[in-house]
Amino acid sequence: MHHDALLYADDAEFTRGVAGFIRAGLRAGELPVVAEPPRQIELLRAELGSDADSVRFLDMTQLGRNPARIIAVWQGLLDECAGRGVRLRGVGEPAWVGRRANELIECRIHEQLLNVAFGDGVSWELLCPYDRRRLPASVVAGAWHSHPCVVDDDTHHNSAAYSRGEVTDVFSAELDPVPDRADRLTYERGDVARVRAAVRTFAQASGLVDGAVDDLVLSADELATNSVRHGGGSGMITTWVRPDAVLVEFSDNGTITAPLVGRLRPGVRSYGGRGIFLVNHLCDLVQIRSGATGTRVRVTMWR
Amino acid sequence: MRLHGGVADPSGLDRRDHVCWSYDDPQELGQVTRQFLLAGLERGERVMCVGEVAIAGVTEGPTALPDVDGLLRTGTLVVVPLAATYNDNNNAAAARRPLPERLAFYEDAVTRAADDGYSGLRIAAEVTALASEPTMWADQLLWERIADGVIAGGRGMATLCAYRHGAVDAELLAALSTVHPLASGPGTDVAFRLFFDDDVLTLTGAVDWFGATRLRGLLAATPVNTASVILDLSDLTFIDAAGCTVVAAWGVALASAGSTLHLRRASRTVRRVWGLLGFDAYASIVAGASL
Repeated sequence: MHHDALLYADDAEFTRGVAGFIRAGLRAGELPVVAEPPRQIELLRAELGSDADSVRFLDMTQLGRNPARIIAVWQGLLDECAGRGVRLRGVGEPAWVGRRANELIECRIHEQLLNVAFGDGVSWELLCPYDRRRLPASVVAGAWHSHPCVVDDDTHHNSAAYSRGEVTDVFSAELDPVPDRADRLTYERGDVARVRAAVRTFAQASGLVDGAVDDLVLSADELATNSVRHGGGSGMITTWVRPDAVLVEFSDNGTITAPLVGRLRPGVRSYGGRGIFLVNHLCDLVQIRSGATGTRVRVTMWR
Repeated sequence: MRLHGGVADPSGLDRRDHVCWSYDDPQELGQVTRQFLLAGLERGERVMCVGEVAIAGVTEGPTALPDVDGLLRTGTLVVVPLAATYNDNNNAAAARRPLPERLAFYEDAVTRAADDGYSGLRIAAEVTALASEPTMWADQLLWERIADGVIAGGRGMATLCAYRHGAVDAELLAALSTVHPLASGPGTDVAFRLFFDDDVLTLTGAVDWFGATRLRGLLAATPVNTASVILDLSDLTFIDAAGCTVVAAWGVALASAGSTLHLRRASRTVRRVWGLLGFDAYASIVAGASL
């Protein structure tokens, strides 16, 4: 894949850069797919005119609500393109202006993992726009880190800061500290039903709606089961709330070695490998940190 | 839906009830059997006692039924030693009647009870001997499920299946309990149950990774003879990815055998997981009203 970042300063730079990229794809007979927030989609539709009819638009605020879901979407589109014999040309802006700081960290990890998922695979184009004026400087610096090629001020640069996104890189990113007042519960084999009950009680008391409670309970089951099966047989669950969020963290002594865990849609006939994929789709944010000292998986539901 | 879950009082059981009852003390089982059969006699049912342990409990000693000789003479109480029901001789392990013959025996007994003017047939069976050897396990599990289908059919055949705790392998006892809608006693408190409600296979309770292996075995051994198989999930309180994968894999197996699996009354979570994991091709999720 060609994985480029587009650093834009304003709407005009955004629409000029992205529309040019799309039109080049249309001329080449490729399938252009644009995953952007609704406002940016409207800007592009206006700029593209009738060309917009040949573009597939996806709402990034929906599909990328948890950035860890996005790779599976591109994989699905690549499979579709392979079936139709066309080349894919994607635009994706996971790090839109207004996202929370911890979401933006996961966006950076997602961008790095795109290189791992697709770097050696079929040929396609992916352009990732970044609002270089309104996003935090660290996020824009991250774009140089995760993209081999960056378009800045209408000029192509090969990024000297580029790094493909290895396990040690993505699984050691910073996490907000756990507050002292958080509740903790240890579990081992035979305790998973108890974990489900505890998380249900916590989620209901935290004011989550019924559907979100069920989603969090299923996620807790999958993650606690992973601890028992792969994480040394036991683990600890930590729960706390913030004004905007309900958080549950699972920690155990295991080490995750597959950087793409949970990001690709599992084969329908394979056993296993579905837990974290499901968790990624059920929770609003999933943060995996892992190393020699153990694994932490923190899941967040916004409220 | 049929009564399902844990049960404490054997006298409350009715025509379509099927309970797995484990016990440690034969005297305690004698009490349970007596209460269960007395409730049947009060309802005008013929009562049947299967297996030497159960027969001894209600014909001898402190737990004997009142006027047991009279009940036997009039045919209101029928006793069936294991050998006569299931075997060509007295060795339960060596020779057992094939399941179709067993089924015919009980179906015939229900018909005769009705013909003789009874309101139904009530069966207390102590069948530890049929589950003692590993070579018998699969057959006994299958038999319980075939029997459950008949009991669920509603012809009037309340049945209590007793197994001696400790004399039956723990996982087998759990699996036996799982295929009964009702259970009582040590080792029978299981996370989920798989039984027939009318002719619909019903999964209740919670299925997680730790129960998925049992569910896989039980689904694979489910007697299926229709082109369309319905699995009712209305009382399924929880199922995770491992459980859903087992159900979907069963859908694949049924498809290759010419049947189609439909999931009925699936929760919002099951519907979501089904879509996310791409299982729609293997079992469709249908609204309850359409089937």
